[in-house]
Amino acid sequence: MVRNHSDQLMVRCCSITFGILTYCVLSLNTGVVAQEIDALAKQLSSVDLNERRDAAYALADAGPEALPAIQQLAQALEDQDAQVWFQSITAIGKLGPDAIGAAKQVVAHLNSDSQQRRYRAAWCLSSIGCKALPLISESLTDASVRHREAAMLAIGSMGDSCGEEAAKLLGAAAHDQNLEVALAAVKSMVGRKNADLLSDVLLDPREELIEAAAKGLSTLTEIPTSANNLLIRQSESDNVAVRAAAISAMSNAKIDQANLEEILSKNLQSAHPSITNAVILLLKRNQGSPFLVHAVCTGLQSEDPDVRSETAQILASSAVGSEVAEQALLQSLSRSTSDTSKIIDAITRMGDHMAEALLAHESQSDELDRKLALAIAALDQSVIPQLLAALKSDRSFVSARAANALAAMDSLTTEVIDELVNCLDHPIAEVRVACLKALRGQEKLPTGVIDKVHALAGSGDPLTMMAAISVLAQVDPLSERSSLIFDRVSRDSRPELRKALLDGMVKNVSLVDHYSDFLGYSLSDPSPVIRLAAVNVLVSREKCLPPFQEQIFRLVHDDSSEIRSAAVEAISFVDEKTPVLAEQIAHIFPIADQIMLVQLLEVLTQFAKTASGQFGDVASYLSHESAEVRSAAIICLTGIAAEPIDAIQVILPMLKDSDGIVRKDAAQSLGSFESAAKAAVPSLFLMLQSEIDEDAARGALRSIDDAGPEALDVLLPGLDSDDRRIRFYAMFLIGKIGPQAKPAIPKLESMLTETESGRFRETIQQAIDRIKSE
Amino acid sequence: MISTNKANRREILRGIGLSIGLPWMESLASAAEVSPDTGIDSPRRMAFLFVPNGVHLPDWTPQRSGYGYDLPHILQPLSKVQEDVLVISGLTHDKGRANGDGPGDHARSASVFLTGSQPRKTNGSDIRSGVSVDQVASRLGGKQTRFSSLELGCEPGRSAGNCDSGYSCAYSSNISWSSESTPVGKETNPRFAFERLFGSGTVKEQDQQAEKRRILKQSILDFVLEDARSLQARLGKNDQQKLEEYLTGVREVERRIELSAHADEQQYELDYPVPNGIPGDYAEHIRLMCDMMVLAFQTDRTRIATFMLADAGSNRSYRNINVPDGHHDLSHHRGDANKHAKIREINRFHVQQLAYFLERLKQTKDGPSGSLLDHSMICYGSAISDGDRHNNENLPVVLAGRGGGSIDSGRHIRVENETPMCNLFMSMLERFGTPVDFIGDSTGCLPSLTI
Repeated sequence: MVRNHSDQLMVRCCSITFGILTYCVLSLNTGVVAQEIDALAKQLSSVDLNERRDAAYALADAGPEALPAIQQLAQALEDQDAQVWFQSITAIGKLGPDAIGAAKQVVAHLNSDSQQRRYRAAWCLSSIGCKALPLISESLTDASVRHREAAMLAIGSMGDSCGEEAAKLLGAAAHDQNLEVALAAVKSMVGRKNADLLSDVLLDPREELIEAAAKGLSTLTEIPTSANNLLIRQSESDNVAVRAAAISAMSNAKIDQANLEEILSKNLQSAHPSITNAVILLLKRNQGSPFLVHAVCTGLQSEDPDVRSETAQILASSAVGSEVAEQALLQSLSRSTSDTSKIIDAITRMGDHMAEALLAHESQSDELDRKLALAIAALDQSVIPQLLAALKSDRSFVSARAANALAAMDSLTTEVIDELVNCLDHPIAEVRVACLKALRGQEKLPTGVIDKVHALAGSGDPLTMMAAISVLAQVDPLSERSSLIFDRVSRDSRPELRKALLDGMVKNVSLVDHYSDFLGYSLSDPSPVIRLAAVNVLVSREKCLPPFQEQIFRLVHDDSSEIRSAAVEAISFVDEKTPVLAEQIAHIFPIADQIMLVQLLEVLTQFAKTASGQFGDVASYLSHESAEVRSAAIICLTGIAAEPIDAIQVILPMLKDSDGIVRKDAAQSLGSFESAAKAAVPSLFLMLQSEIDEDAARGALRSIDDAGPEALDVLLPGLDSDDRRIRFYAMFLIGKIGPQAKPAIPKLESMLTETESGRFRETIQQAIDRIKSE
Repeated sequence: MISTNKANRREILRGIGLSIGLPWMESLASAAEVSPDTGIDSPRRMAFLFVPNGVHLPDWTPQRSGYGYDLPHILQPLSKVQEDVLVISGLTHDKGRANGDGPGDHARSASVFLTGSQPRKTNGSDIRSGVSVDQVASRLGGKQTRFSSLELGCEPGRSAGNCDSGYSCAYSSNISWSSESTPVGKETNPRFAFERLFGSGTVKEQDQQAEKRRILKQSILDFVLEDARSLQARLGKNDQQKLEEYLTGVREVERRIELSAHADEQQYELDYPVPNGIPGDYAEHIRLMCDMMVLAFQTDRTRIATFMLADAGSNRSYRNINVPDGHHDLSHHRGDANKHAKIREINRFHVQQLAYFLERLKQTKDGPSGSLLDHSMICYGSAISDGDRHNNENLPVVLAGRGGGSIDSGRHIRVENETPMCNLFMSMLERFGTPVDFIGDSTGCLPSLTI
């Protein structure tokens, strides 16, 4: 299948729009009289810029009426002002072939420095039309690359109307030794009637040209037969971009199925996004042809997980509705182990009807089970009836997955809750647990249901009991019956049940007050699972109450790194941040690993000046081998320093750190000290020249908003920088130095006369005024 | 009375001072229109949505190019319509730069957004910019619909005076320009937009009828019931249901507008007084305006719309998403991570509203095949990239919709640095059927809209 007719026209139009199509659409032809045109023509050479601009705008609006002003318009192409130039060349272009008298001046602008001007000059020449062709052709001898490029644009834009002569020029330019010129010629061939010109380019040895020609061919609804074999050959190129362009072009070529199948199977062996994109396009343009989909599906059998993922991506983007693709994806899911996410994602994108297949898929791992349930939950709510039916399935894994999917859904209706409640009597524990989990998200449950949950909490099956405890902690935490159950659980020898109660305390803070003793001895429990769950209760409450502080400090030395980390986090929630506590934290530094060290430094930062006694300890970490630790130390020192100068002195050298993030943090920290950190200005100014450091340095310099005389040596050369921003900061900061920056005056004064920018003028003048202010 | 003017391709229910356009329905279409093979296309639509102060690009730009691109935090709300969205990185509005005219980046950013022309620096009446892309399309193709274009906004702004370092407020409050010196004022009150959309007769007559409806507490649908009943009888079962859904949709929008008339009690949350008819809730305001565009496209009242979610340099606070700071103040973040976090939430909030609009377009069937979104080109973006640097290159831009199958959407593309934003407009105008040789500072089409 090919694109419809209107699309073909559109693509052609997009390639070539210059010429007679619409050149006067923006004109507000006001029917200006000849005298007015004369006056406007004279006004074009006025010394007043606004008058010249007004005249140029008016002449551009006048359309063909502006013909008497053609000479002045041609001269106005020498005007230094961009607006006068653009309006003048627009006015010339709107005169069409009658503007041939100005063509020579316009041709000269094909060599402009500005791409916009070259483009507009090319448009103007294309408006003048074939009459300008000899002038353009003559100008090509010894012309610069950009001139030749723009000339190709002009010729291409003239379309087919200039016949063989234009085609010959483009054909010759396509063999230009300069790649840019040849590329411009090839791009200008797109949209012409004679597509053979593009086919010929496929024989050129230069890959960039082949790619451009193939892209050009892909815009056609029908590709010349002569190009078919060449495209097949290019689909085997070593160059990925060429291969991708060739495959894209094939979407409109008459290539037999066997060839296409081979091309796809070879190309799908590399998981390259360009190829993926080209194949998606091929499928989209062929509206998911079963043959093509089948060929693409072979990628799902690859040994390479990346290839399988990219293939899944292709099918999800372009083969929705294809049963072949759906089946292939499901089979692939059975074979895959590590790359299931992309395949599941592709399956869900095939539509909500895939819910059934996702429910029925037999999984070998809990992880895949979880992913499948989440994928089903992400489908439309219209799949809920299917899920409810699945709750009653003979296969327990199907019922459990349906319940897990319901558990992951946002809000459940009464009907769904009723079905989940019925499911609590399911003979298989796995299903009961999934249904309990689904009910856990509810704020309230009817009394009858709670009774059932109470019963399950004492059922004897640990998995069911854990899930029931979790539900009760949320919906019925303080009833007498629940309290009895929780009391029993808190003394139970099975850690998983005690953990369920602690997890319940995370969800429902009111339980903490009732079971604080249990929480206390859980912090010292022999089982690491329980100790971690207990610390997490404190962390979730964002409170580290005094009775637990001693235990928490002990847990900082725990064997489990996870517990140590949670303990440090809990310490950050200690209400009263005293110097003694700060000292205790600093004592942990020597035994802390890198991750914990960063955490401890972050905690200490919250102590602000209360921790100033630890300044020396923290400063020693500025030379730590880990950049993260160095960054955390900088931020900590900024917060705890008794006096800004203490921190500034030690942080300043960090602006030269080997790590970009550390430099950024150092710059931001120094900026926070505002004017007190003006000693940092020379280093920060030098950082402006680095792309990585520029943002941070700029922010810091603005915050410091000051500079001392020692910065002058660094700032002065900045006034000559090619970078506008560096010049700006140099003049701005020199002004801040004040009278001691006198050596900068001559340069600043000359800049004042030269600059066109009002903002620059204002800044320079302020700088000069400050320096002269004594 | 039911107008059967086939030229409009939409039947109309009429009441006094009212005319409700209808969506496309199979029962009323000609045989040629019903068959997807006859080559009769549904009309193409275009809309332009402007957001001020740039975005936090690290949370906007996808890492992956081509199909299957990742959706960073800000673009995440577009997940349901990702296949219909083209994210374009690298576009530039050179004429938004000072180019010798000094400060005033915000005013320039709005005036350049759809014109690509350097505005004259003035705060007087001698304003001059360029004709905007929507008005080019409107002038060349807008005659086929009742309204040649629709201009909407959420902030009334000012039309005169100095709004930004010597630039007239006309520049910062408008993105649509019908001539170089004429900005097209935008409607910020959903009630007025609704009444214009469904009113008939003179503006005065429409206002009188609207006032009467308000006094009688009647819906516009009450006035066209008779027409609707007579139409129902001519429709097939599917179309009867479709008509019912459509009229319910219109009533729902009308009801939400009525609710906003009683929004005074909510106004304590706002920084400024809000006229009656404008919802106190900003998200609801935006969504109502989006609904207005959907209804206008669905009933073929217009095919071109512009929408300023906020004016250039807007310092609106976003308490609804827990960001009480002013947007403009925040945009000058100086690299502060906390400010970045807030800006990205504002950016995401705007994109959530875009997602709402796009999803509504996608849900609305248009013609024998496809949805409104399939036949539309929705350009969303800002003419400033980073609000702190005020730079005009690598602009945040998305183009949603398939342009009637003329856009290979569902991709993230990176165009060459300094490619003019106007090249995108050239390409859109081509696809809209109103090609031009150039607009603003364009240097050609954007070839990458198709592979």
